[in-house]
Amino acid sequence: MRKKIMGIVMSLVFFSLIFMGHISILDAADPYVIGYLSDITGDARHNYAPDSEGFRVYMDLVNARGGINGHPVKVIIEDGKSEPARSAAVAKKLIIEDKVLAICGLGFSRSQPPVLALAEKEGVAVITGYTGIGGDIYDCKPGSINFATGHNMNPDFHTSAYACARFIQGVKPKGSTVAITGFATPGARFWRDLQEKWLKDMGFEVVYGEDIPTDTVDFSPWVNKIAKISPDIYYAIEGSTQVIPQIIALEKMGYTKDIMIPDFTPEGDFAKGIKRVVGNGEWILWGGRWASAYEDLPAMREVQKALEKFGHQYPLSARHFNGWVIGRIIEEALTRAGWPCSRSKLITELEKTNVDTRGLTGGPIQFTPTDHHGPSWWKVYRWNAGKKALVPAMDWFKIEPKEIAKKYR
Amino acid sequence: MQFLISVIILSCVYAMLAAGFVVIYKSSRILNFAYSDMAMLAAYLAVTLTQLVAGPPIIALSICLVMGFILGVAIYALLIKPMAGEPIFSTIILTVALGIVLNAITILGWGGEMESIPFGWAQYYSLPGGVRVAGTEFIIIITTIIFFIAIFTFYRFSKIGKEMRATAENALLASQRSINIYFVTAFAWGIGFFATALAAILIGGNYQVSLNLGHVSIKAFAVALVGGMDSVGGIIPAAFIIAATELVVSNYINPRLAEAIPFIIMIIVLLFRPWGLFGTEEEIERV
Repeated sequence: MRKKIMGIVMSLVFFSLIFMGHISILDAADPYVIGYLSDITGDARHNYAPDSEGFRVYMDLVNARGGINGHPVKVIIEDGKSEPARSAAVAKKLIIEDKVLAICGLGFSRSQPPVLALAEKEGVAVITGYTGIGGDIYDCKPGSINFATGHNMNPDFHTSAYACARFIQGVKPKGSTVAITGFATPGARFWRDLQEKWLKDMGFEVVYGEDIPTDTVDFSPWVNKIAKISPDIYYAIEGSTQVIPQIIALEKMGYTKDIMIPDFTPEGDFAKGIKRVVGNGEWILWGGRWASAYEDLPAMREVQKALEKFGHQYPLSARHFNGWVIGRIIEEALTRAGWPCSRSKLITELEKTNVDTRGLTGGPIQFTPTDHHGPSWWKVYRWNAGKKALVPAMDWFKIEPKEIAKKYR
Repeated sequence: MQFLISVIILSCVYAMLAAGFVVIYKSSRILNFAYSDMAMLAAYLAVTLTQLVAGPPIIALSICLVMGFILGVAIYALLIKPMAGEPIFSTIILTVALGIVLNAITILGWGGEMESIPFGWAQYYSLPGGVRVAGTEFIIIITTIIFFIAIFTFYRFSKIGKEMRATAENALLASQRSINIYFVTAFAWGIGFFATALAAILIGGNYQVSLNLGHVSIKAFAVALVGGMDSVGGIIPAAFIIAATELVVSNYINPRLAEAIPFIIMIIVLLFRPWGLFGTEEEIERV
């Protein structure tokens, strides 16, 4: 009798586990293991946390479709907390203990050097999400580990700084005065310096340039100066926690000339910020490498649907598109690599990347063995109070980093 | 002139933040290192309450202040009072741990989202001399003035205020004079948390609510030490000195140095007058 009861209990436990999803037919196959190192908390959270959400829901979708080559993708998302030391520690865990095939995300420039050094030693591909400070990314050796899909801050040619100088060229006449501030981080400082250089080359006058510490709460020292100088346009290379209070404080000071911000500010935060603006806010411009979620394209609706299906915390934003497309890049590379897949094989396949983003960017994401960034397309939007949306102010334009780098080298 | 306005507003913010710190220290001799995390929690709580409670924001914000007071009393009753008789160092470490817990609760509950607290007065005003002031800044100045008048009046004229001063002077003697020192200290913790919540609301309304709020709250510690840990009256000049120096450095020297200014001033004051500019000399022995 006791054996019979035990048998029933064991059967119940077994079937409960199956129904709870702890055991499934798909899980029986070994998974591809991919790490995603994000800044879900900390100073850079606003910039990078939605990326990881976009990546996660794409991989949930892949697994729901049956995985890749009959194998599920196990995604391990770690929080670097915007701290370089912690990012290095969790990267080590991902690489050594979890044996990931690649690390994605890693947007915070301060956290990148230690992680990239470790990844290079272990031969693990790193697809830096939104901002990358990788070295020879445009003219790299085949098999090198660093890839980028967002704003890359290469010391040789800084695509974002150049693109943002072009943004200003697109919306302001030559000879206009420009003020620029940036995060007090290596990536943003480098960006600001180069953007100033290019703006001067394009015939603009840079009248103010300064760093702002990432934990600043009272922006009056910077804002008072900018309002006093009253440039024709102010460019803020910072995330939402920095730019929104500055926009509010500048409006208070009577400065409602153009303010341009990179797409570091996700649309959810942008919407909260615009509610605090007393005027119509039409002096605010927003631009970057990814289309704004305000455009409502079919590809964007697909991301939204996946977010709703698999759960999300942040409203749909361009940051989700970045994570989503990194997911697609990984999926295509793993499909080509087959099973089993080694780290070096994945790098070889990533070097063949050619992903049509269906409007989420201005053109495809392309990597080659000697170019781990590829051409990029950039677009600017302006807030339209009537439509309550960001509307295009300057259409997509293409940047071929290699060609322009030669010019500026 | 605009610079002076910026100094006044920042002084008010620092003074409000330091008030919570000093009131608690004055009554219980405990350096409350959970302070900045408490401020952050209160600010996020205020955001949620303004979203949940219908009507003018003042109703939700008043509820938040009452909750701050109750939380202060509860923390004293549950965590601080049982530590009576233990080394003061242990209690201070307890406040550090409490801060970590409050921080974790805030991140868990609100995810560190960027928010703001609506005051319902989003207007800007031009004053003579080209000065621009926001409605929220008027609220900060007026609230700070009212708060400090109220706290001075409370300490000087109310029965419980007098009992608080007596307990702060000599707890043993106060208890022998049939003052309920536990009640008095609990009340002081309530006022301390009330002031913290008020400061957090003012910051959240004028700037924003984010995880960075903790960074500004840390400066309350410097203001309190410069003014004198047991001196409520010392807070205002200390806040003004620190805010003015910080803004002079940011505006005319280098903004990258500005964040360190409160702590540089604190070190200088501690070297030459360790009990603070307006504190009591014997206090230093107790610290």
